[in-house]
Amino acid sequence: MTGMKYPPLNAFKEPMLSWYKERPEQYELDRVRMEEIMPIKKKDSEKYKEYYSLINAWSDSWATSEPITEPPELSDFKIGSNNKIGDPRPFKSPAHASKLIKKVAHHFGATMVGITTIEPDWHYDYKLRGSKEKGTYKIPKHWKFVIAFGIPHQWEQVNSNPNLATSFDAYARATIAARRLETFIKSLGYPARRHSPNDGYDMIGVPYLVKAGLGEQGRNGIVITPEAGANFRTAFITTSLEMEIDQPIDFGVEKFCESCQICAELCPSGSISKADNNHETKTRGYRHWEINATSCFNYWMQSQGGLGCRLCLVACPYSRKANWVHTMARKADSADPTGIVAKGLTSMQKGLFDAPEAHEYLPPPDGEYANFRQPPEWLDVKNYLDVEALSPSKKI
Amino acid sequence: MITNLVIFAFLIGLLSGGVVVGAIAWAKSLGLNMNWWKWLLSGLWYCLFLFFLAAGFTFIGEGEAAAGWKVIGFSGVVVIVLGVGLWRVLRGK
Repeated sequence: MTGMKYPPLNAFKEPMLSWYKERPEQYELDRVRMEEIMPIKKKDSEKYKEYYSLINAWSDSWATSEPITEPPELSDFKIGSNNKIGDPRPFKSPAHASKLIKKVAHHFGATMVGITTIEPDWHYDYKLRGSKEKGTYKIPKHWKFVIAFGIPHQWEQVNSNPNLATSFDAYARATIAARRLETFIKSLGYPARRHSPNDGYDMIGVPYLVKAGLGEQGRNGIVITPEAGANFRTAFITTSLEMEIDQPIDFGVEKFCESCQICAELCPSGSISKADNNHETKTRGYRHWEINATSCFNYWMQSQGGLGCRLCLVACPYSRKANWVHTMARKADSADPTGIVAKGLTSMQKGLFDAPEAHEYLPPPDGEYANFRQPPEWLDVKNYLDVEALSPSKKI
Repeated sequence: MITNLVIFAFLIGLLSGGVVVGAIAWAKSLGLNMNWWKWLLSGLWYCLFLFFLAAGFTFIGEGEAAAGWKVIGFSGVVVIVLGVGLWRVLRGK
């Protein structure tokens, strides 16, 4: 079998010509590759393509990452900027599909993964990424399932909120996992679109996380999971790939939040509701704890270092490190229908784990840019840089 | 494969065995008239002591040193008070 004819030596121009003349064995190797190896590879790739479906999808996943510049009807059906996705590889069953997707998502770095179906109420009613049209739109027909996943922040840095911490570590990891997973699904022949921190979302994440069984919505407005509490960031994939879906979970967080107000008491901008329950506030018919997003964001703009504030995330008792003490406490709370354990744990949390008061996190003169905890050693300027570093706070 | 965890578990096993053997020998040398419920009470007290100690040092390991020392300090008083009570029960006074 012969493939593409490799150009004769005298067809090359300088400096390639001299390079080949000095190394005739290299010319021969290149010629053999193009004329003999590649045709066999092409033929065998076609012959064995099904056998290598998954490893090729896995490989493509790590190799590609294109920005979203077209509407879902176009971009969701392409790998890279031009290659149309192939025919869908049939799965043995939806259960096999969800099992594989979850495994692969874990390998891409997604710590917690759940799968659910599309809910039109939970999409922004304005514009889809890549689309030039603005205004009300219909959910693309191929968006049938949602893969929701969460990735925790690095533990030590997130604890030194709000002024010596960031979300970008988990943002980046979630984005990378979403890009990889999107390509993996497309490589198996199914349209897919990622919704991630660095690429943007066409959806609201919290209700999908709840519906996909990752956790429950907490007083702080974000989802609290059994594994990492509220300490995580999310990304999603919308796709037509039929998978077995997960069910919402109830491990007692809603009840816990009714008695615990630690996040609301600690919030520097007072943006978190101190209401007895979340029965009153509804958006599009779905009840939730009320958050004043604007005053929250205004405090974001006041904080130093790393941009933003995640105090309500780190102060949540469910976000505490998953060692045996906290795991036991969380399980005891989940198993107690009376709420007595929740009250006891909240009191212990307040009594044992001291933290600056809400106003102390503010800029001077009301506060002193305090942090929830000391920064890790590797984020402490005086340990590594030879600079005059003026600390605004006695707490750090 | 012998990992650090295996070595740790082995040493803890040796230590726990030593505690049991030592407790029996100690009870005999002190002339304590031990029976099943006295051993049960002693075991519970020992578990409580270990629980609070482990909880305190877990907090310290987590970076919550203040919480850890609070747990050790508070539980230390509780464990000592209960220990004195247990001692009186064991001595039959």
